[in-house]
Amino acid sequence: MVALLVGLLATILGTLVHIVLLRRLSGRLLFVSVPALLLAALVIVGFVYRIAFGTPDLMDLFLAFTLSMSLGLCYVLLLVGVVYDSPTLALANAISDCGQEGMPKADLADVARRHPFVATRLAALVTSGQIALEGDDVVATQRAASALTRLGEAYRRLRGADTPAG
Amino acid sequence: MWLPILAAGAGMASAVIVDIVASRLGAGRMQAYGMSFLCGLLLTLLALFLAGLSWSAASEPLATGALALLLYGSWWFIFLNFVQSFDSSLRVRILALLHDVGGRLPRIELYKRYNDQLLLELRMERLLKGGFVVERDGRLFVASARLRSLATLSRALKIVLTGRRSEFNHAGGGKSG
Repeated sequence: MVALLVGLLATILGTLVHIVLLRRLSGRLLFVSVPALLLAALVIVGFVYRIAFGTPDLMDLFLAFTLSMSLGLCYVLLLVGVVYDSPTLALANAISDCGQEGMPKADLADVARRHPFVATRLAALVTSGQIALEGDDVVATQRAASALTRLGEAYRRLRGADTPAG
Repeated sequence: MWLPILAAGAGMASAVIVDIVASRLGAGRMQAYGMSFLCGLLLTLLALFLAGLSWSAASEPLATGALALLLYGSWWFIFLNFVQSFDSSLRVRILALLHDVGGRLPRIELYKRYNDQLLLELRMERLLKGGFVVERDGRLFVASARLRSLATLSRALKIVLTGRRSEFNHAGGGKSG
């Protein structure tokens, strides 16, 4: 019960503080700050619990930490979906914006012009240090990202995916 | 005390296996995800039930169960996002392409493979094929209420949290996506 209570309260506190600070945060800090805030919230909630009920068990704190970080990562993933436009949802919104008359198919080029997805994603990869631009070349820079990419591609092959990705 | 982690871990292991097997057997992505989630959930519950029968560890069965289910749910959501990102995340696809060609690629080659027009055409093709969008007399209409709700919710959340209606413009701006 202690782990559940402390973990949930820390997640709620850390996430709420992050939502309040959201518009002031940018770039990598927007996402990197989440685990830091959750950890700070965990310390605060753990401290309050200690004052109120006595020192919590170390195992309970570990479980609370695991729960808080797991839920925190879910929040980060949801946040990525909110902050960055999805091409599919951008299309749906562009069509819906045209109302009852629908969107002329020829306007797809205009939607593409108003949504420079590739350029912004490349810029984000450069900002996060995962790729670098060297002259006219794009170069992968991080081994960790490369290992994750290998893992993901291996899993994709394992489940026999053959549809074009993108 | 390790019970919530072990039960959720067992559930996740089975969820991954079911996703692979279902996909290999020809299930669609949504079907495979559905089966994966449900089988993992069942195994998590089964592990909790068996542990409850044989261990005194589950001294607080409700809290232990809730903790295990929250862990399983969050891990499965992370797994879903990881797997799905390799199908649809542009950033991940760019990294995968770079990995395939040895880590270096001329920018012009990258733009041949990935450009906004091609990307949106591919997505539109999927939406049309899936019946989420329909074409009548050269005009496109959103046919899926679920897609329309999701797009509206996503835009509303974006406005509330970031103050923008799209990452490419600001709230209150003109037409956007």
